[in-house]
Amino acid sequence: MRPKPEKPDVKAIWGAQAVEPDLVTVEQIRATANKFQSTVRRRNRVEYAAGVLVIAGFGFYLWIFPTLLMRLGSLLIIAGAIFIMAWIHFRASVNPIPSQISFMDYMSRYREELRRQQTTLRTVWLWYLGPLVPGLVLFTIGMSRLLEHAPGSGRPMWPLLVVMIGVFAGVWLLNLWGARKLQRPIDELSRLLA
Amino acid sequence: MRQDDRYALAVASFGPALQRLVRGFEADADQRRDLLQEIHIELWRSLAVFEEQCSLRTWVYRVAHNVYASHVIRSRRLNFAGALSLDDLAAAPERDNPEVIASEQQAVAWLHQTIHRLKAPDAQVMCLYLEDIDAGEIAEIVGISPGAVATRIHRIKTILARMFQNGGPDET
Repeated sequence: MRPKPEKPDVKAIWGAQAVEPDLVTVEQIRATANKFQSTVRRRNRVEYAAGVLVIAGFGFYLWIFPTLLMRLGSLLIIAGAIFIMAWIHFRASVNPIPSQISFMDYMSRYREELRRQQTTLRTVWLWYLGPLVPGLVLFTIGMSRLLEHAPGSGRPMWPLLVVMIGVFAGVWLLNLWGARKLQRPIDELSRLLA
Repeated sequence: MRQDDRYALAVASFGPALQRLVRGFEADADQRRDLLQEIHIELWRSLAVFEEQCSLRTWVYRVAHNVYASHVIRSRRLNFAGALSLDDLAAAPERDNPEVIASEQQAVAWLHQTIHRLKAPDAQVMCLYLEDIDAGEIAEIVGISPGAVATRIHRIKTILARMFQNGGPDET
């Protein structure tokens, strides 16, 4: 006679299920908000550093290039870089969320932050790309005229123009994509706050 | 104890149990994630007014029950077509059960499948039973009489006994 198999403990089997590491808890929402703010701070630091480099570079051009168009272009690019840094400082810097406030207020403040950064990304053409365009156009025209008179230079400027337009379009699209990615956490928070 | 401390204690003690419950409650992975998140938020919110009227465990499960009930009503699945009661499932023919349950993983998968087929209130009772909560406490959590819970647990035991027909479930 075959022995009866040992009875499995169903409750023990149920209780032994592996738990997911990506559990979404209140603490995790706080951690996500902190991480998001760190990312924004890092992005802003990179933009400030880039702005300083642009100012230094075109300040140097302002000094060495002889034509009025190139100097004017350099000046406008410097002005554009200062405008961008000021915009980031006043409109896109991180508003720290105090941890002592109630969690509902915390979520509400976090959603505000997400919305503000989403608007920043959506309007990148206005405050980031747009301010650089006049200076770059003048600088490029100036450079083109300078090269026309340079001995042995027959290279057309249009490839440079195409690259510049491509870079601008790429930056614009990347920022739109970033803005769209923020919609999901905004929707989730709105649902929880409803 | 502060609300945040109470919440931390509740998550440390019952976080895994909430995950298991939600897995039983909701088959869709995205909805499961949303439901779990909602339970956590509601739990945190509710702990502001928790004054040990009952045990923390009962409170946590009751919050999970309430959020799940709203979720079911919102998704209009209270009595969705095809959902079975424990009575229906206990009376279902043998072919509804797998022939052999070879591993614990398979057993858990079968339990999930079975719970997902149940009507929401029965699914809740089965999940709570599997969490080793007694009939009295389940009644307190779900808001039905202890007698009705005892009847449902009896059906659950029948279903589980059939599931583990080679050895039979441990009916503790």
